[in-house]
Amino acid sequence: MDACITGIGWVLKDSMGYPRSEKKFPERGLPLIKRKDVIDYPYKPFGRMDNFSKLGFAAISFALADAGIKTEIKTRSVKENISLVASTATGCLETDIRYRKTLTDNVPSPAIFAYTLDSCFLGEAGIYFGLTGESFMINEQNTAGLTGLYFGLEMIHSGDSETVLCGVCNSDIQLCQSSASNIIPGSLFFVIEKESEHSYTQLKAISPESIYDENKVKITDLYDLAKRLQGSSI
Amino acid sequence: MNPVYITQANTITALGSGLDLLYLGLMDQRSGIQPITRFNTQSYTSSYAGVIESLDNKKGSSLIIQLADMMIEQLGGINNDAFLITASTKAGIDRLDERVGRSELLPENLLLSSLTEHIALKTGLKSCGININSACASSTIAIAKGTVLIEAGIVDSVLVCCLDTVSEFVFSGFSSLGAMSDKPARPFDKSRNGLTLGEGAAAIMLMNQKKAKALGKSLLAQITGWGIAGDAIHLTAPAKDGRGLKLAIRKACKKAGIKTDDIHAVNTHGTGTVFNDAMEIGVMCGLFDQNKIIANSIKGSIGHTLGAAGGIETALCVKMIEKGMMPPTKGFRDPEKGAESIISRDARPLRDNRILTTNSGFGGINAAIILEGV
Repeated sequence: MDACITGIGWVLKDSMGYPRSEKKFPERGLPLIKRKDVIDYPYKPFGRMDNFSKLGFAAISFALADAGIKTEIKTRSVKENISLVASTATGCLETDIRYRKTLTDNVPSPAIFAYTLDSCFLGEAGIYFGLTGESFMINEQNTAGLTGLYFGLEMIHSGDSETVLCGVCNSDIQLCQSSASNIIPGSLFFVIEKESEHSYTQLKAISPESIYDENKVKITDLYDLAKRLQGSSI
Repeated sequence: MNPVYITQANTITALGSGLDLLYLGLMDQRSGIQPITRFNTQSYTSSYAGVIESLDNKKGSSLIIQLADMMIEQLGGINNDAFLITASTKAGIDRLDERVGRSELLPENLLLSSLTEHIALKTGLKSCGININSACASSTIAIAKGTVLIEAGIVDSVLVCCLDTVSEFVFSGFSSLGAMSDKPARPFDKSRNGLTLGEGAAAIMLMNQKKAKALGKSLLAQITGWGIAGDAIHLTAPAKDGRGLKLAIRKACKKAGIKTDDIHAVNTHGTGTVFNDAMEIGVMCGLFDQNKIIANSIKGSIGHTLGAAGGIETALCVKMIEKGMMPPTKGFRDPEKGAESIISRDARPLRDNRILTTNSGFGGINAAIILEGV
């Protein structure tokens, strides 16, 4: 199954943005994401989102902009064939802890509780950008994000979606196990489509473990892929 | 494309351990919902939940691990080459209680993936597996994606394990949102005023025909269609016009090669909240043949089991197809407008051997699966 990458967006500790941007982003990533860096119009729910959701939402917004997909809420039309798949190890554990503290204080906060699902930012992105395709999170200890990429490629191959945003999102949380050292705090999303004149590369998937770029180089990790396609910015 | 079959379906719910106990309990209109004693509910809007009595939060291990171990025991021997997909929204979140006020690093068992890892290890599966998390549609999507992997020929079998428990964390959150009923939930009833939480687990084994034949497994039902779609309207409330659910159902019907009028039985999400049930009634009145459609909800009996709901309900649909009967909807007395002929207090025969089961969740996600008898 084939598809091409048409957009890349990221938020990392030392940078955020997208390759085709003319906008200069300040050199700050987690956790200081401002609405004005991400979307042009005032949008109240952005301020209500937890840090994990802002992370994911911002990278999705950048990736869509990079792919040239019009996303302004005031002009958008429903794009029902755009789907969202993201992988995470940490999920919204940081928000869980914040909510648990409100419970300890005997004032459980509904505003925080609403963001104690890992998939909330996919819903927020769906609402803001008018995306009514599939959306789900994958929790796995392997932080490469390839299972999500495979499912995204399959959605395009089967015709279930015209466009899919695939990515990874992890908060900057300190865990005590050794595998946590592989977790990169931040978010990275790719826009993949069946075909486009403005493609970064063509992907070919045989299985989740066997996904190749157009140079037949095996993809081992989404961050490595982004670095290869985009150079040192990421 | 490889057709995908269910060869095993197990459940643990507040109505007991085993799919037969769930089905018979529902047929007898029994309820597993009771006053909760696991934590103090005095400051919450409800004191009820569909709990599994043998789960004990003083045992030292998290409730989800206790539940997973019960489910694994019920599963018996399984082929170790199955790919593992778990579906849980909050897994071992009850363990967070112990961490409050402590500053040391957080343990790995708070991550959702640790549940998947535990099940893989305990069942002896070669696959490390993944967890799919999409609010209350998690299980339904997990089954759909397991189906995709088999259809595409990536694997021959997928074990889908769906689990969530009643923790004070989740209970207090739903209470703070004003989403819970002060009494056991009454899906599709005019006087419904919220949901009741529940806990439970389901294990669904998916296989292609060749694998099932090689292992001597019976084909219990075929998954002929599935669909997933978003409302893109609101984070915690469903779209009033049910646009996402309609789209998910239409996608499922397209995959199954049928028209929406060919659906005659629906296992609904049916949470008992004012908005969810009104939305679902609207969708059923708008999409299906009103002279033929029947539907049910099981959440008045076992509560809303969140990420496990779709798995438990898919397992129940397998049993409904086997028995040719749809159980009554517990708590349904005075029909909401539009639900009069669709929902019932009585068990009813199925018109054919096809059932649609749907779930919707936070983030405006909707998922649908169509099952057919073999």
